[in-house]
Amino acid sequence: MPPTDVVPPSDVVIGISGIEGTGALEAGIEAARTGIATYLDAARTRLVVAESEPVAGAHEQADAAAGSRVPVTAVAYDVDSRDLLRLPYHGLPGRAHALRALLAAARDSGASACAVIDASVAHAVTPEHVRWLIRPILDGQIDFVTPHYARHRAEGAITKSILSPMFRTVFGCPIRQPAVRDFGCSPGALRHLLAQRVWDEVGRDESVDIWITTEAAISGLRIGEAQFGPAQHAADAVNLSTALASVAGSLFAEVERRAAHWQRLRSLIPVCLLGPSTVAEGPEPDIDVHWLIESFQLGFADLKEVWSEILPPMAVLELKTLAQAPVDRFRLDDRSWARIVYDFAVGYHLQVIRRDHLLGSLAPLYLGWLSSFVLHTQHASAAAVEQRLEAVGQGFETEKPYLISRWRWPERFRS
Amino acid sequence: MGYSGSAWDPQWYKDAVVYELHVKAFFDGNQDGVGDFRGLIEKLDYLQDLGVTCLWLLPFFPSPLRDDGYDVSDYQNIHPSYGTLDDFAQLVKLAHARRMQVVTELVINHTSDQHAWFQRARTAPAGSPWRDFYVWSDNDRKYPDARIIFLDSERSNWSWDTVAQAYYWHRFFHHQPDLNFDNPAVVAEVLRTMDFWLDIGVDGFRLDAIPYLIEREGTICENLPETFDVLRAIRRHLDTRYENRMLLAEANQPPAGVRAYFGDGDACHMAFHFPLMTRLFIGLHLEERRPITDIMNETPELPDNCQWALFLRNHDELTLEMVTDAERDYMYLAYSRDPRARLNLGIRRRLAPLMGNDRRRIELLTSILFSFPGTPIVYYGDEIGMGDDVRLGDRDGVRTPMQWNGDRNAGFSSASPESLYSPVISDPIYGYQAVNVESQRHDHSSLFHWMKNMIGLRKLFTVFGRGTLEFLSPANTRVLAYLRRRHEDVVLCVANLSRFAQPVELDLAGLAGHTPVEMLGYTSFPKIGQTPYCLTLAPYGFYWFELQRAAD
Repeated sequence: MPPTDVVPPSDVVIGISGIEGTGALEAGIEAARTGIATYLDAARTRLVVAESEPVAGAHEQADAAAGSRVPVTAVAYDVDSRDLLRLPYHGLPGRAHALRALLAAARDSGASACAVIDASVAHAVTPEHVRWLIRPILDGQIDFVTPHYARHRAEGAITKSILSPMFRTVFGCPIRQPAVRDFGCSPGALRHLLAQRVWDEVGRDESVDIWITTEAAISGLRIGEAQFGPAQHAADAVNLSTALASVAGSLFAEVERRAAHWQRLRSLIPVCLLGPSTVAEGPEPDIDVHWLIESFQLGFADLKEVWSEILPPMAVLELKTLAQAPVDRFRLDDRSWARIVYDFAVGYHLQVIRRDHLLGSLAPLYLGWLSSFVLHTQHASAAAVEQRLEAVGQGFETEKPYLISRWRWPERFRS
Repeated sequence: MGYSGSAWDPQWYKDAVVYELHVKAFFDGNQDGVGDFRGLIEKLDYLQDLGVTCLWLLPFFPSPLRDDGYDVSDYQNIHPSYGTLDDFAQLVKLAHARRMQVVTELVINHTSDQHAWFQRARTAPAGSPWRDFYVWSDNDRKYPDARIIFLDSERSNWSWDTVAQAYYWHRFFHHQPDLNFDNPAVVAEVLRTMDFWLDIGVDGFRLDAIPYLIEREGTICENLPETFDVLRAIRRHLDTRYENRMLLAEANQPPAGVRAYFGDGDACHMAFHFPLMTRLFIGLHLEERRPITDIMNETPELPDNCQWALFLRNHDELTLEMVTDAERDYMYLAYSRDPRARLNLGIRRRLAPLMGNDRRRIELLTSILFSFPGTPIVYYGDEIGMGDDVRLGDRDGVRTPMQWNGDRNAGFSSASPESLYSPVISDPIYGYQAVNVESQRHDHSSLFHWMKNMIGLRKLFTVFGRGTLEFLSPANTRVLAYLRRRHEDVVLCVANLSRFAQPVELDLAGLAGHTPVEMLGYTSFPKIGQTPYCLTLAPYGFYWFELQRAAD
């Protein structure tokens, strides 16, 4: 079965993206098949695998895994060599083109619903994924479904501390994991996403997931958040600084791109929760708060001059006080944290220093927030942790005028 | 439909912030004393940082340069001083990569007398197609009602050609013979020239001196119906073969007269609003809003796909052709005490000297430029308050090298000073050591940063480029107040034209319940009620308010 751009007519297309190993793919397809058998009409459903030259052959694995019950089609995509030459590079090569190929295949097949499942979570896919990514769309309730995977208190903390609250505030969309790589979408959402002329931009591989969610959030699409169990993501082989730079950089780039939109947005759009609420499973990982605080203190000693380029004097003073605080009084106020993140977004926009340096210098500050958050919630229930995160989000909302004024007239904050 | 332009939106020009520049004056990339495309490419990052979205390049074609390039001798090439066609194509590509459009000149009313067409015409038999590329006569008495535009240098619109043994027609300098647009071969050549540049990726053309294309006896030879027919033919050709391109008319006429250049949306996309520019200066000096509101009230509605191009200053003199004699006298007294600043019917000065180098006045006029209905055009160097040199001839005093830093030649070129195409401004107030890009980029209170922020703010709100205009009528006529509306967006602009603080009471009862949020600092002001809304404005102060509904 050679790669083709022609996908036969189907009611539902489930695309597998980011193929990283045939084992994961096989498991994912098997789970998808079970979900399809349980919740969909297998005869009218098609699996589509995006395939570039370097991973040629994956479709045979997919086909074998699916057997004859669910037809599999492979579509080809290109890897942009400009991205591979870019340093530092954090994305999956060709991911944006792979996603475009999958979405185009779904559109061209006339699908009434499409889901994209990332290979990195394919081994953890359950039949419920198929149900909640697809059914609400087939039922006409939702245009775009984004998952929420249950995580322990300090897991996914970059998302909890920066991505989710800023995304909610800036784009008016209170979803909790805006950078997740899986999603479901309606024919209208497919057409809208494919009509955008940004797929070929350099750097798009790295930021395509946040871009897709942002595009859905600001385009008037009806959005649902499907609540799943633990994701058990295949661990990306990146350190904290790299992950933070990738997530925050992608977010700040979207904030910059959409400035004309979010500066006039003054309300939240409704997000429909899909499926039963879930909780993280298994024992909670141990967090060494002392190491986190020391990392923050070390960061303050090393980076306060850099931070002074990005943050106003009062914020640097607050950080100095925090760096000297004993553990029992180590608290980073939600609104202060929101202003810090906003100042970094403005600094990114204005390129006050090199963007990779700016994003790199955010890591110790993030560890400071994480220290404060862990200390504050160390004896809290799951519900209390959620309340704490809600307070973080409200802090970002309260400080949105600060972001707007700083964005519009930044030098007023300088001495 | 053919090639797509660089812009995504067919009406991209409505939201654009245009930056007008001379390639020769911007930056010298090969150190020969003349700016060039390689130099301009080096400065694209600067322009992107400033925030402009469209570059309007003054003529860069082969030319004897007797009218600063508006005397074109080859329409499909680059003047060797500025680089090559490859350099130009590279510039277009790199500008597009920065989401900037590129607009060039289409100087089609006339050519240089050195153009091969004219050399061929003067030797061709009378009545032949080659001869008829230009307008000839046996005598110099035809079209007597056509005015002379360059009064300071020309005595007639006709000049004798010794080779042709006939008079040729020229509306501008005698070395710029007018093309004959009654000859279909001329129109065909113009379309070929357009295709040449559009195929490279050019996003639009400024149509130079467009009212004068056609001559007819018994008329003033301006704005003739046949001229509009030519424009429509050009537009049809453009729309048939290309997407998202733009035509900008240079027609220095009263607003009602310019209206015809838009046709029914099937001629030019844009046209300059010359009279508004003049009235802004009059209104500011009189400290009185009526010259401004009057001219805007005289300004007709445009078809949906059309737009005014607004400017404060450009590469020409501040033209006073379209004002009354009294207004012209007032302008001379107010803005050109130095008689050397006067040229033809105008004043050859840059914005900052016209404003007496008063930062508040510069900012006030610029705020009006950026908030009136139309697309603003910034003349190179005005973003840092560059000065001029009235000692230089013609309009060269406002076309001096861009002042990049305080080094030799203002950082424009490392060539020896005597080899520069023009001396740099070096007086104590406007000289390059006092006014330059480098120092202003480091100074966050500088005019450069103010301009950058204002451009950024304007780009956030499409209401400025696309919204309606509604003047308010407060009793204090030193205050100009107006509403801009588009969809849900309502913006209130208030400007104090006076050098003293002014109070104003605005009737905003129709917007009761809205909260004015000052747009620069995002500061909420008291909510609007049924009673007059009171504001106090600092000397030459202005406010832009976003009016937010209570429900928001």
